[in-house]
Amino acid sequence: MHAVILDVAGTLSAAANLFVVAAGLTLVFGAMRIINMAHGSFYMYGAFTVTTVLGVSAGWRFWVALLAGAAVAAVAGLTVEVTVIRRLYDAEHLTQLLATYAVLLIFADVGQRIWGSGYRAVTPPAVLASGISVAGVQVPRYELFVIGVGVLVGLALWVMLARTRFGWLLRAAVEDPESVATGGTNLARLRTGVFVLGAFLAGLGGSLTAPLQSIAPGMDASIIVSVFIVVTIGGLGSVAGAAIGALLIGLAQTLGAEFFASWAASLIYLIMIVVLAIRPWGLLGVPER
Amino acid sequence: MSATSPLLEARGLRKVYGGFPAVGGVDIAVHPATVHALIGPNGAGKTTVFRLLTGEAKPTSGRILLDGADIGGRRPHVIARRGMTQTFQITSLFRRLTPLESVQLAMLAARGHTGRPWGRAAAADREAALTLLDSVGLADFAVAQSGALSHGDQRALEIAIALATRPRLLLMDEPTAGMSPAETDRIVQLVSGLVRGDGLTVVLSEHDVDVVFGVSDTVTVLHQGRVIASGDPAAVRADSRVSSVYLGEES
Amino acid sequence: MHTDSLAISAEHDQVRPARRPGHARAGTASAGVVVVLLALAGLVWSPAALANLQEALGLVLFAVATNLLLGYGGLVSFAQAAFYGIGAYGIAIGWLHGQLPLWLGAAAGIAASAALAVVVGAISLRTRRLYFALLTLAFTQLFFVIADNQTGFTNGATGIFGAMVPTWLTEPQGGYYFTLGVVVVVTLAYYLIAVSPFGLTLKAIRENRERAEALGVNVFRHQLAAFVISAVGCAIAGCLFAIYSQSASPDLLSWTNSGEPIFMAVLGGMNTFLGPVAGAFVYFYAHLYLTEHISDWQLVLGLLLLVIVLFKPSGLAGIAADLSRAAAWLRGRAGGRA
Repeated sequence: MHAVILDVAGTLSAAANLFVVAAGLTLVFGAMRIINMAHGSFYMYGAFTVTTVLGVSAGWRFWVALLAGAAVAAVAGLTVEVTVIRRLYDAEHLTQLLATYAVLLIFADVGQRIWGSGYRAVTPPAVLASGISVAGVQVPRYELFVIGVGVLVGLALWVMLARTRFGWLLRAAVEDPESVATGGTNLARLRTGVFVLGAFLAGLGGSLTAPLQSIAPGMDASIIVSVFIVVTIGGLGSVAGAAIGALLIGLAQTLGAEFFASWAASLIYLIMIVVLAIRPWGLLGVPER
Repeated sequence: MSATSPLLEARGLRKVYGGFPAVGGVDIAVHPATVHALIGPNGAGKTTVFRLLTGEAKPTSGRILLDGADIGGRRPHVIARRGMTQTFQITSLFRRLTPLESVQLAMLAARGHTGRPWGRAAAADREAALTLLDSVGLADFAVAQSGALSHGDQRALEIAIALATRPRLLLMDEPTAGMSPAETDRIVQLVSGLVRGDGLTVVLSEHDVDVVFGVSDTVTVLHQGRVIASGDPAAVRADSRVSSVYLGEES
Repeated sequence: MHTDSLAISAEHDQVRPARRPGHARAGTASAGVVVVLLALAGLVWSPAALANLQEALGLVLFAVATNLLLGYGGLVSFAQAAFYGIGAYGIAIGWLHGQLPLWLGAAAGIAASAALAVVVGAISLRTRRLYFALLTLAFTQLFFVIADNQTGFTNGATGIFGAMVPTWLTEPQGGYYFTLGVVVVVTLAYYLIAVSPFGLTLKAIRENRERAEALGVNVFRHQLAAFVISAVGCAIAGCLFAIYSQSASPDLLSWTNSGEPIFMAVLGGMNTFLGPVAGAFVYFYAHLYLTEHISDWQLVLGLLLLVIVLFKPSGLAGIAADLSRAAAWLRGRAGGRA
């Protein structure tokens, strides 16, 4: 029982974190048909920013650091959209993959210039550092916090998509790209807005994860694979799909380590292969026109 | 025109989309070496009939016979192998291949030799391909980029690709759509020449009334998924039902 | 609307011949000259320079094999690193566990790559475009994880190192000429495939999948064949790497390693056969020079890639074509034609 509760908490918090990052990527793809390999770079910059703001000690500055990480990522996203992504809207996937991979390389280099090539670590703030008792088991508060943020983000996105003008435009863009194309400046601003939102979410995910893992160059490339898998399983463009995908992958990662030992790491790839073999467009994805 | 049996026949052809009968019982008989036009206002069912004939869609009921053999519901490439090919309303070319390569490819595909990893593609059926391109007026552009050709030349290439497989019957979906009078004339001459000279059979759907009545041997008029008139052009033109439904709407 | 490869529409605004008559002969002639020069280099260059050239040649084959799928087939795959790595591991594992002679280990690696390519291709090619790319990414990562984790079989993350290659191949000229021979022969085979009816069909599928299908082409089978043929070449390139470095390690199979031959092909010009060859040489030597002199190698590479992809997608081959067109125009002017 003890182990199960810890497992569930661990799974859910990993899933929540993945969801936040993946939601950003899937929204960008859904609305703009852009596949962004540098999405992981925003994530990494979020995490590194937290280390800068915090030094190594946490405190009330943690909340500032969290938002700062997301904000830095959003600014980075804005820069990338204005300089590079704008030119890719009608380009083929190979062009997008290569151009955004180039951005990944550039960001990786600049990141190493700023933060060096070693690894860093931060600890959670005192208020979240200890455990909370759930059915007699000490569950790390920070994991519950991450889960909470994940749920909040999910709800916020749901509200945005269902109730705001921006959300309607976004959904229209996902379902019928041509219908939004008549907008002129509206379209340009929508695109920038979506991309910045995606970057913000990636950075938020990175900030959230900072106290949970070691932060080092290379986390951009390693997270992007997991995020791609989540987004592909769920179906490109579907936030709900991203949630399902994140849960599946979170489960695979925690349960895999318990039950599959050395094969654990391959589990997520096997899941993706099986899902796509059965449903080539992902669970909630829409066949490309 | 002799009273031979039809090369292509549709009998009682029906296609229902979710309760809506796009095509509600259509009979068509196309005789060899003739031009048979299918006309009707938008929504009359011309496109659906075409898709049924080419195999893109399966009939809900009814039969389609090509030279006596039932082809209803067969896949497009199977129908192509049996001698019926089509040109597309929206030009569908291999943009970065040359016209020569496009035609050579079609010829290779017709013989099932596309999988050969030996030999030079550039030499495959080269003479035959060049001759074909010449017959549609593309001899000068044989090694240009297909995507860079003028609209009229691209339409001519469309026809050449469809002809590369030496079909007995060619379906043409709105072949002169968006063309200038000069380009339209060129296509009309081309089609006439192929039918009169080579014995090709052509079924075309068209909006251009002059083209229809100028080049066709038989005209079938569709309205709301059914045939309301069919026969030689003069008779159809004079038919009162046709004028009220269709020709009266055109300027 | 989208086609499945980099658009170069800006360069085809006017009707012009796709290839000028002398082009084909010029291409063959220059390729012949290059091979002769490479053969001569083996006699005069220093061992260190030859070692570099040997490594570069392996990458040339990697790029050419990848481009059959990428440039001709229009398919963006992440799997080439997997086949490359399996080729290398064939030799390494054969040596480590079975003391197999080199050619047997290599044959095993190549055969394994081909067999896996059939499986990976059969599953992946049922999906399209982006999903296809990501599915090949998943497979590649799967193989990477296996190489990284199965320490009993592959020695895990440390990789396999050792004297797995006969001594004559470790000598500068022995290794070099062997590699040169293999690369020339296999590249020639790829060339013959590229100009065959099969190659033309691949290009047609790339340009307009639906039209090719309507003409009776079995698209899936053709693409699967291309996938497997490409995998074989990548595996051979991996074997050459194992011969050169006498090692095999998991990072050969990482997806970022799949990006390298793609970059080489794009740099050189993925719409020509020889483009990837030029791209591989340029990339290798640029990388060598820059990593020795500049610490921001990634920044330079990223910027270069960005510039090419956004502004000159036809790569070096496109630049060469521009130059020859300019030269012809100048000659025309000089000849006094109006």
